[in-house]
Amino acid sequence: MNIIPDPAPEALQNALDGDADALNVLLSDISRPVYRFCLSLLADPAQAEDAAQDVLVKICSSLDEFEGRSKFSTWVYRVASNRCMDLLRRRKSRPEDSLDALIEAGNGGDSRLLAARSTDDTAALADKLLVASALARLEPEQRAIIVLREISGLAYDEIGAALNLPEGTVKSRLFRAREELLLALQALNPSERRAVEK
Amino acid sequence: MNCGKNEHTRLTLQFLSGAIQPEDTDGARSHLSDCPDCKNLFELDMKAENWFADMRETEAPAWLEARVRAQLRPAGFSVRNILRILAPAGAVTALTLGVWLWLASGPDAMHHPVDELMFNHEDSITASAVADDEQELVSFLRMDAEEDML
Repeated sequence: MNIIPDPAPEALQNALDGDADALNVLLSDISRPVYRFCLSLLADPAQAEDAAQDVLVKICSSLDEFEGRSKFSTWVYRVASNRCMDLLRRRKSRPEDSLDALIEAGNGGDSRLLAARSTDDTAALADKLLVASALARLEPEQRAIIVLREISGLAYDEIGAALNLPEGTVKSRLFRAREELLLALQALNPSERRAVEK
Repeated sequence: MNCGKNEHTRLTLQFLSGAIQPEDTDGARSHLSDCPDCKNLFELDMKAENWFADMRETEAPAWLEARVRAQLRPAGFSVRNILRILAPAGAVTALTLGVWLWLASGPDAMHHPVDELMFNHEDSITASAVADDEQELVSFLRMDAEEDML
């Protein structure tokens, strides 16, 4: 799972004091969840790598900014959300957001976005492209809420702390985001497309 | 059940998210099996769930951590650590500079308004003493001259 363990206060202090071992443990705990979050949200492997790197450097170099008012994992996701949502807002209409471009990326051998394994058949690959493309159609905040809930596995209150939203708002926006995702999936679904074209 | 597009989306979502009322569960289940549109939505949602599951297993590139470590400054040369070392040295330097300036400004810098007042007061006492002496001398000379004239 993607749960980021909350480090013990001493471990955090050691990392803050420049203890290389403590910093390495911290980094290895957060790097995978942060990368997954960035990749799921940005739907662009190259941009996700850069964003994850920025986020990890920012976290490791500004540990003194963590005040302990929230969980460490929530703070990490807040930093990651701010970075990725900033990138998404700056990104206008990008070719990666279209299904065709995603398919092209998949055919180009960069299958990280699709989380494809070698055993995946064409239909499974197409399904993954479909979902990635549908998610890319949502508003940045809607994407973030879905990813934090479904991929990062955060509770409602943790999502609220990461995105600075009340828990009740998170629940209603998550429901709305899932609804939007389904509608986007429906609109992009090839069988639905064929029905519309007929 | 003949439902509108938004209505069956909502129903399917409620069913999938567990937000549906318990008394509506059976109805929703039978509706999902009967309604081709809702069945289609259910299948699409399953695709999304599969994608989420796959993304939860995605590995970060092996080089990511190494690249982050390389980008982080060595602890001994971080700005924080440099400031920690320089802070006491800076305080000592500032103190030394202050003392040096105080000493370099000479005895005039020691003048205090009260001292100045006292100096002025002493001066005025001296001046008045001199004036008294002068007057005494003048009156003595005058008396001496009068005696000569007599």
